[in-house]
Amino acid sequence: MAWAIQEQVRGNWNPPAGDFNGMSVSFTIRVDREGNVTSVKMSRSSGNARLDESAENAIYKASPLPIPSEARFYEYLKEFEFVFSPQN
Amino acid sequence: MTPDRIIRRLALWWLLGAFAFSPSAFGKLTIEITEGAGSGIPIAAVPFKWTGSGSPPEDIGAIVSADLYRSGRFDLLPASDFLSRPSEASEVRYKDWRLIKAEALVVGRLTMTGPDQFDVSFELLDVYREKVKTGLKFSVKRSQLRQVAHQISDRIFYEMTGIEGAFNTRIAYVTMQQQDKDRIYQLMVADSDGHDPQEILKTTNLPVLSPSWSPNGQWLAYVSFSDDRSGANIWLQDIASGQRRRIARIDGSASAPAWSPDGRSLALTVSASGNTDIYIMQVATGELRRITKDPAIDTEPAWSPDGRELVFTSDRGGRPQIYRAKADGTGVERLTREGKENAGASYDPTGKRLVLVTNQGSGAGYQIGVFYLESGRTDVLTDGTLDESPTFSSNGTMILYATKMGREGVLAAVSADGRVRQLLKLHDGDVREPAWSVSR
Repeated sequence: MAWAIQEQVRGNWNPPAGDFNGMSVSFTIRVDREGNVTSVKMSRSSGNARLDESAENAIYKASPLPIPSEARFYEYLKEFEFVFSPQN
Repeated sequence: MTPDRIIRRLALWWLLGAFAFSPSAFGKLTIEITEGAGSGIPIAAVPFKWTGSGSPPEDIGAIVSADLYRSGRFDLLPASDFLSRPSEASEVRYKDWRLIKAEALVVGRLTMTGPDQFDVSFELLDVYREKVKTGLKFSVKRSQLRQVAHQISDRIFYEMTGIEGAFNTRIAYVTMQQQDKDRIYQLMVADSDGHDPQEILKTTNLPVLSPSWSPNGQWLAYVSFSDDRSGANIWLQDIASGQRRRIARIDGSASAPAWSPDGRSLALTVSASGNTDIYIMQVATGELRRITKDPAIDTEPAWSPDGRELVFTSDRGGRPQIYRAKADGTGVERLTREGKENAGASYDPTGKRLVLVTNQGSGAGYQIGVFYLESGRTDVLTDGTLDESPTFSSNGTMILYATKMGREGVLAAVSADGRVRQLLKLHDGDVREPAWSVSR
């Protein structure tokens, strides 16, 4: 299930070209029970605005995320941390 | 569900997912993304709105789309998917563009304001932040419309990537046509997308070789031969005025003039007395100084961006490979170690890469490759059998080269990351030796 989320965001991420090795940007996100992203907050910038924006766009484009419909998992899943660390 | 069954479920889940994610100390899930989709930034370029009678004189949106596509950095979304066709920011419904997952949007207008007067305006919008990133307005004549489109592409490219655009630039190249028993050579200058070719020089049966742009884009240096074929002439031509002067006459043969970054010298190949070597000529005086002294063939010099070193092709090791020397000829060292042959190298603007012609030795012929100076590795970018004469754009993002279609030589562009390849507008005859200028 977590792979499905990871893969859906990865498939929507079009980072700008460049050497970003060692850099990373983090976001805290909230989803509703259907997986729609309801809140995106950058918790740590990579220092590169274009890289940050591309990652944020990936999250919006990937919504709704494939979270399981069973209610018992929702409490654990409703708030995530995404860390984007491009490796060349 | 009982507490210990919940714990067992979570434990199983943790076990299965241990490699993909890690819950933080507070129990919040962390998912790491280490790579992207491998495609370009999705961008929607809406056809520009035309206000005038008849068809628009130029399709500005199409020129911009072709430029952005050629760079390899963008995924141009198809116009057939567009739900609306805004022409300015106030008309944009951002939801329409989020639906097709466009990250950026280009809108614009072309208006006829007089008999030969046009207004062009455009805006680049950030779809997910719902704001205008940049925009420009122009008022120009019809003949300047393509140039305006390329300036728009340059502005969009810079906003999206942080790199100066290289679309509003020109290329020089040589064409050769067989007319009965004669060979007609033409030195041509065109826009970087191959449009609007202009003839600079035409000769019959006397080859014109190796056009090379001066660093300020004002001059073209090239080689031509005397009527009696006794020597080679190095010419400098002012592109704007058409005026030209011969700066040297060389007994024997010469080729491949390459401008130093400060515009004061030309490195070139001279074949004299049975030896082929690199020389440096002072542009102001025509004074020549020999740089390589090896009995082997040393040719195709190119300057490093700081003007301190030259790379060149030499067969002193048996087959052609790329060597580097200081600008005074000392400190010669071999650079290329992979592949059967490597030739025709030149630097990118960062000085970290070379573009060159490589023969990997597998019987596949000659392709264009990018050589990384730090690692010594070569990435092969093309798949022709006789690809040659590669040259970087001034921002190092695109490579122009000559390739074969059937038996005819044609020009093609490949993005420096190898993602996109495009044939340029074809001309009659064999097209060869492209050279790419800086911005106009």
